[in-house]
Amino acid sequence: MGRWATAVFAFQALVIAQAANSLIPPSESSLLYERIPPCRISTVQGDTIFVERLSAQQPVVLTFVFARCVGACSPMLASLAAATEWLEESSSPASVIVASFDSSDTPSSLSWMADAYRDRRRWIIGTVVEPERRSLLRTLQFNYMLSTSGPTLFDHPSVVYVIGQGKVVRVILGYVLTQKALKAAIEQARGELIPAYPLPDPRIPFRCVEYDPQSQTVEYGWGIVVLGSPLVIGSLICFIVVLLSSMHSSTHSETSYVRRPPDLSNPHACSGESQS
Amino acid sequence: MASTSISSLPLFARLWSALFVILFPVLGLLGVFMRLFQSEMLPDIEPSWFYAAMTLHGLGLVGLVYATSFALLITRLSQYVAFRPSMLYVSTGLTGIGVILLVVLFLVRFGPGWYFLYPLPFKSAGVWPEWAPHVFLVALTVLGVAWLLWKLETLRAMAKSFKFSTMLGWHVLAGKAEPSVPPAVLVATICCIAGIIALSAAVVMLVFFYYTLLTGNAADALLVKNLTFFFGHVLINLAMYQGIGVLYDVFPTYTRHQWPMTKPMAIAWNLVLLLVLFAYFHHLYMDFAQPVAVQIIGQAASYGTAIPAAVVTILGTLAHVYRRRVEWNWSSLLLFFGTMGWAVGGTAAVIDSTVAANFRFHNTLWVPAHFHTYLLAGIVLIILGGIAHFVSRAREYTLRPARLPISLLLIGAYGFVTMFYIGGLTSVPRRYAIYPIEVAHGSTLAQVALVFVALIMVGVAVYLWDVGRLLFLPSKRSS
Amino acid sequence: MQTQILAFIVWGTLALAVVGTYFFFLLSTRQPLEGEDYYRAVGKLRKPLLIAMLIVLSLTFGFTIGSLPYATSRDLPDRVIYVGVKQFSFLLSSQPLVSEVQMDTLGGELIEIPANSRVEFRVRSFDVNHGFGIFAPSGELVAQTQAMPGYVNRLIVTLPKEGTYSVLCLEYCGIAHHGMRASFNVFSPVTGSTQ
Repeated sequence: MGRWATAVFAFQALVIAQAANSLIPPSESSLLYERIPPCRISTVQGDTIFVERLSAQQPVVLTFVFARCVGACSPMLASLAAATEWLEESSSPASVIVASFDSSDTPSSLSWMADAYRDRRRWIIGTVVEPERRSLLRTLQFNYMLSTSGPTLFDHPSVVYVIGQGKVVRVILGYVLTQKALKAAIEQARGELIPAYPLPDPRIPFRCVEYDPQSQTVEYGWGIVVLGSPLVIGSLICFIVVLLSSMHSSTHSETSYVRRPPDLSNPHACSGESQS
Repeated sequence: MASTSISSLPLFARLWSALFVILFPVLGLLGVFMRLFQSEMLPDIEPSWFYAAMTLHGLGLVGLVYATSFALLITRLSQYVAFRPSMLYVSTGLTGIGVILLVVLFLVRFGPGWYFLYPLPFKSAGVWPEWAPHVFLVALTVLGVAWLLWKLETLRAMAKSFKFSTMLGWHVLAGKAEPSVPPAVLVATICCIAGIIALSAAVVMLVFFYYTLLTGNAADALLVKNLTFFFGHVLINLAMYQGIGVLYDVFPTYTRHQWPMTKPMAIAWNLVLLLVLFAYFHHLYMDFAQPVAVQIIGQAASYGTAIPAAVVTILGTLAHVYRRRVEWNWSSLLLFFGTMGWAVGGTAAVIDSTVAANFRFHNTLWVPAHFHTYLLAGIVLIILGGIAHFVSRAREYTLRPARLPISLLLIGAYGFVTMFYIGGLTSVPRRYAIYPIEVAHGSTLAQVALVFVALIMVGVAVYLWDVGRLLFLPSKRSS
Repeated sequence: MQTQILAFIVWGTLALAVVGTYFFFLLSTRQPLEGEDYYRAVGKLRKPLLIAMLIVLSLTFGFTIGSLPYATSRDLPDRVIYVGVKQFSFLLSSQPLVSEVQMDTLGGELIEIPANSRVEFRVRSFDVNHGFGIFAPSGELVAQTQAMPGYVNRLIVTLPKEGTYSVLCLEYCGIAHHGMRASFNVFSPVTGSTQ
C-alpha cells in the first residue's frame, strides 16, 4: 500500500511539476482580481462549503496545506492563527479556509489540525472536492512537487490568498504573517481600497504619507507636520508684530502719511475724500 | 528711514496705479497671443512660446492684481494709520526686481506655468537653460520677501493705531459699537494674517525647491503641491479681498451712504480668515493620495467661503444702490460690476469645488473660465474703479458715466469667459497650445473669444484715454 | 444627465439671475427716493439669503459628497491596467510598471476592455506631474486622476459605452503637454466588437 501510495504521489507530483514547469510561487500582480472558480470544501466536521459563494458574501483567507507536512505548514498555521486572532472578536464576518492541496488527504486525516485550532470559530478545515481542486489550484497558480526529503512529502509554497467578492485581492507569500497585513487585506477584500499609495523612497524627506508594501497600508508621515507649520509660523509672526507695535504705539506719529489724525467719528471718514 | 512728506502716499498709489494701467494691457496681450495661438493663427511660432507666454501671463497678472489691490488698500488705510514709506518702497523695489527676472526668464522661454508644479521647473525637456530654475527661485524669493515685508509693515502700522481685537472686529462681535473701526482695517487685518501665513507656506515650499536644486534629491511632490496651493490659492483670493477693502472704503463716496462695520461683517471676515486657509484643498481633488477627509473638508470650506461673500459684500453692494441717487461714473460703475463678476465667477468656482464635478472639470477650460470671471470681470474692474477714484480725486477731475465703454468691457469680458465655460462644458483641456482631434473645437472657441477680446480692448483703450492718461500728466500741487 | 451639462445649466441659471439682479438694482437708481431707508429694507434680505444659501449648499453638499471618485468602499475591480507616464508619453500595460526603463522596453499594448466591467488604472509618473484624462468616443471627459511622481493613483471606472477611448494629459507638464496621448478599446462582451 505504501509503495502504491508513493507511486501515486510521484506521478501526481510529476504531472503537476511538469505542468507548472517549476515551483514558481503565485504572483499577486497576475492574480489580482482573478475570479476563483466554483469549488466545494468537505470539512472535517462533515459539512460542504461553497468557497466562491462564501467569498462573494464575506472576505475569505485561504491557504493550502497537506496533512503529513513536516515543514512549513505547521509554523505557517501557527502564524496565521496569531495574525487572525482578532477576527474571533470582530463583529464583521470573515472566514479562514485551510484546505488540503493533496488529493490523498481526507477530511479525517486533517482532524489533528481541527483539534489544534478548535478554538477558532471562523476556521474551516477540509479538503477540496475533486475535480474542482485541480481547477482551483491552477487558477491560483499553486504549484507543488514531490519533495526530495521524503517519499510522501511535497515541496510547496507557503501562501495565503485573501479573497473578496469572489476575487483575489491579495497573495501573501511566506510563512510569517502579520496581523497588520491580514487586517489590511481583509479590509481590501471588503472593497475598502486605499485610493492611492506612495512608492517607498527613503531618500525623500518629510513625506505626507508613508507606505508599507508588505501590509499594503498607508500612514501619515512627517510631511503633515511640515504642511501645518506655516499656520504656526505665520500666526506666531503676526502675534509678535502686533505685540511689538502695540508696545511702541504713540511714538512714530511724525512718520505718518496722515497730516491730521483720522477723525473716525466723522461719518464721511470712511469715504476718505482726499489724500492730497 | 526715508523722510516723509504728504506727497509720498499719493506718489506710492500713483506709482502702482501707473504700473497697473501699463502692465495690465501688456500682460493681457500675452493672453491674446495665447488665444491667437490656440486659434491656429500663428502656425510659424513654436509652442514653447505659448507656454512661456502662459507662464508670464499667469504669474504676472496674479502678482500685479495682488500687489495693486494691496497698494490701493494701503492708500485708503493711510487715512487711518501711519505707514513707514521706506518699507513700502523697499517692497515695491524688490517686487520690481522680481518682475524683471521673470521677464528675463520669459525671454529664454521658461515655462513651468504660473504655479510651477514641483518638479517641472527642473525638467525643461530641453526648452529653457539650466540656470533658469536658479534665477526663478531667486525671483520667487525676492518677491516673497517683498510681499512679506509689505504685509508685516501693514500689520505693524495698524496695530499701532488699533488694538488687535478691534482690528478683527471682535468688539463688534461682543456687541460694542465703539471704537468705530473702518471696514478697510478689518479687511486689511484679515488679509495680512492670511497673507503672512500664506507667504510662510511659500517660504517652506521654497525650502524644498532649494533642497532639490542644491542636492539633486527629490522632495515629496504631494507635500510641495500642497504648499504651492496653500500659498497660491490664498494669494489670489487675497487679491480679491484686498479689492473688497477698497470697495468698502470708496464705494460709499458715490452712494453717499456709510458702509460701517457691522456684526455680520465682522463675523463674515473672521470666518473668511478661517475658511480661506482650508479651501485650497480643492486644487488637489485629483490627487488621490490626499486623505479623503481632507478632500471633504476642501469641499466644505470652499462652499463656506461663498456665504460671507454673498451675504455681506454682494448684498451690501446692492443695498447701497437700491433706489438711491448714486453718482454713476467710471469708478462707481466699475466697482459695482466688479462685485458682479465676483458673484458670477464665484458660482462657477463653487460648482468646480464639488469633488464630483471637479472629476469632470479639473484642468479643463472651466478652471480659467471661473478665475477669469472673477479676475477679469471682477477684481480688475474693482482695481480700475479704484484707480479712477483715486486719480479723479487727486486731480479734481469729474469722471464721466462712460456707459458705452463699460458696456463694451462687460460684453467683451463675459463673452470672452463664456467661450471658456463652453470649453469646460465640452471637455476642452486647459493649457493646450494646440488642440488634438478629440477637442479640436477648442480652436473655434478661441477664435470666437478673440472677437470679445476686441471689445475688451476698445473698452480698456477708452479707459486709458479717459482715466489712465491722467496718471501721467504733470502733478498738480495744490498745497 | 451628463455632469458637465448639469453644471453648465446650474451655473448659467445662477449667472443670469445674478446679472438680472444687478441690472434691477442698477436701474432702480433711476428713480431714487430720498428719505426712505431702503438700505435697511434690502438689508432685511440678509437673513433669508443666508438661510437659503445654507440650505442650498448643504443639500448640494449632501447629494454630491456620496459620489466621490476615490477607490473606497466600492465593488472590487475586475481587472487592473498599469499606466506609466513621462514627458511626453503614456504607457498602458497589463504588466506592473516598476521602472522607467519599461516605458521604452515594453511596447505599446492593445488594451481591450469589456464594456461595463470595472477597471482599475494604476497611474504613476516617472518625472513630473501629469494628468490621466479618459475621453469617451464622443469626446466627453469621463474620468481623470493625476499622475504624480512618487505616487500611484488608483482610478476605478466602469465604462459602459463601446468604442475607442482617448487618454489625454490633464496637468501641464511642459512643451509637448498637448501632444501626449494614448487610447484603448472598450468592446461589447456580447458581440465582441468595439463599435
